[in-house]
Amino acid sequence: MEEALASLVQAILSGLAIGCLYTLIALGYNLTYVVNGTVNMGQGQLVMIGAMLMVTFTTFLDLPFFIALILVGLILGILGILLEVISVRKFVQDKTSVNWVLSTLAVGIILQDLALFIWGPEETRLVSPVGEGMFEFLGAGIYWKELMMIPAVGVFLLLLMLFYLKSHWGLWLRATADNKVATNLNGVNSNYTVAIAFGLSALLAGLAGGLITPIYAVFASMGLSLGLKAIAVAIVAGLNNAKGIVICGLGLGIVEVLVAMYISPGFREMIVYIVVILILFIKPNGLFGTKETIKV
Amino acid sequence: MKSSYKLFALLFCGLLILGGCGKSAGVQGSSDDTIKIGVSAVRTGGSAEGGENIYQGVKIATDIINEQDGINGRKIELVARDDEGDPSKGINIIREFAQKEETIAGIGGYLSTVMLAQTPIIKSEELPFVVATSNVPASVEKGLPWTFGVRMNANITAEYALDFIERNFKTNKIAILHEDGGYGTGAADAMKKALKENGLKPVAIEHFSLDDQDMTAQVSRARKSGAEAVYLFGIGASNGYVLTSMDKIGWKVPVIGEMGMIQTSVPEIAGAAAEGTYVIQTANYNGSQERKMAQEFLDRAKKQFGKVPTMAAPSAQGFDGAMLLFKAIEKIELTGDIKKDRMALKEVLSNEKLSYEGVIKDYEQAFTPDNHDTIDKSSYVMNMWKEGVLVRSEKQ
Repeated sequence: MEEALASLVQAILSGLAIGCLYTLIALGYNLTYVVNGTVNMGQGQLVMIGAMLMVTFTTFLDLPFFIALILVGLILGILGILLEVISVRKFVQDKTSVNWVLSTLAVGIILQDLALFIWGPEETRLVSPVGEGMFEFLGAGIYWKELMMIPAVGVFLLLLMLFYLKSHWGLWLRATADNKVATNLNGVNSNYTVAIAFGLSALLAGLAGGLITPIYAVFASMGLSLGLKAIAVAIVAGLNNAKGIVICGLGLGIVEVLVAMYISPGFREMIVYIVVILILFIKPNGLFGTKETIKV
Repeated sequence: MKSSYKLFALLFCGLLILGGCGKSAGVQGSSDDTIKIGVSAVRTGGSAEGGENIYQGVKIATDIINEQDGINGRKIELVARDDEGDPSKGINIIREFAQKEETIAGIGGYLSTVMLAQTPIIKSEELPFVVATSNVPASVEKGLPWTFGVRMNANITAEYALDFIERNFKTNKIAILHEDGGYGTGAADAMKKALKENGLKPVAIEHFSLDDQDMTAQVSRARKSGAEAVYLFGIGASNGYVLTSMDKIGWKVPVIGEMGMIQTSVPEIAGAAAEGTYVIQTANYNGSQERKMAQEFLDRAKKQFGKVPTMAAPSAQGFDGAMLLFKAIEKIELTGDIKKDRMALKEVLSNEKLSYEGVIKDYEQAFTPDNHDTIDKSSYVMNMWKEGVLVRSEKQ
């Protein structure tokens, strides 16, 4: 009985840890979707670039962990703005076009190849600033560095909510999403607003990449599979609902481990994606997403 | 306009004809100038470190021979290709070696899924190929006369590991944890076979994907089965995640792995949880070298690549494999007819003595018509992770 309880607690703790990873990445999709209905399909590769820069700054330049993290966030923010200008802006002028899917995907692949050229294919990991100790609970364990991801997700969500509700940029961002023409007429350049949304989304990706370096292996081709899993989280939650993304991200992590433990690891992906399809079949806008009303 | 078009067409046809003539009379795997050897390995992506190490081994062997004026006065030219870990690309590379580049032989491997896809093509193209790393028995077997293994065959590795576990830990309750690709599945099948031959079976078999970051479920079930040793066949970081998951549930039993355990990412990911885990290899580069050729190889690697190869077995097997290939080429008289030359090379590799004191061992007759795997249990070295360094284990 005790062993069964320990296994269950372990599954939940491990699921939370992996769920935090998905959530941190998935939150980045929310910002861009809200403002112009697009997502960066190369978001996973931005996370990878963030992680790689983090390794470079801390290992080769000897920068302290949190200084390096801020620097990574800023660099990725600028990269996100450039990405919007190069691979999104032109392609969303035609509302029916989905060329932005291909162009952002292409940028992701270019970034991956570039990373492979600069850093090579080796996997690496950073030493955690909170140490390598473990928190033990009811016979189960989770590393402190994994546990720290939960408040990190909370802080990310809080900052995002504050940004939307309290800042001018957040207001303009929501206004642009609501009516681009009217926003432009009121003197707000919607191009800037969209670029800032992409910048912030990339900044989040950079911070996520930096934060996971003490926990997971960092390597040039890590981005694609992470990005795919995170976009599944964002779509199931509803791309326009940040809180929903957090709930679904953590939930997906836990469900994955539970399926692997009590059914079979081989069915983990299959069952998770069957659930994804079922949810979208019943709620096409995702579990927490709201349908946009079209004014006529 | 029309006449200039005709002129262009004539010139184009002329160039085509000239190109064709050049092809039939000119450069081949055994041209007058060089002897071409194809090197096929993964050089990009997550497994690139392994392919890079094979290449380094082959390159050093080639440079040694070329500095000695090549083989019978002809220099060796490497045609190196990156299979990118993609089986279809691997197949195209073999066809390129055989048909376009007309190499006399090939060497390489690493990812078993690629090697398995390449194997039938090697046979149909009749290209002698040295498998320098890839554990799947099926890539070098009876009925495959063109492949020659200077690699750790999963069947031999499993027998060696079972013997090691029984002798040192007095148990045969083994859980197999493996990645679900060709490498891990091949190793799992081999260990099942080795146990079955001893009237035993594994107490647990668990698999995982190389993309998984959490292995809690697999290790929890393996512990529940009563396993007293883990035979671990993931690759790099995935092995690290298995070890951290074992650490989280507080499960401490001997862990024995092979090639997938030698990447530095294993101790980097697992930290203290990697300490004391065992790694089966054919060489170890940390510490003094007993073998003369091993020391020469390492000195050259430092000079040429600025460091000792990061993975012992792939680089040593690449080096010894290339040297055996060169010894065999030395014994044939190259005719310029590439098919005849390849056939002659295959016959020499299969039947003749190739005496050579290598990095791994002393070779006398490396291959026989019945056995194309030259690495046996006595060629193995048990290593252990100790403070982030792979050292030779006291337990052998």
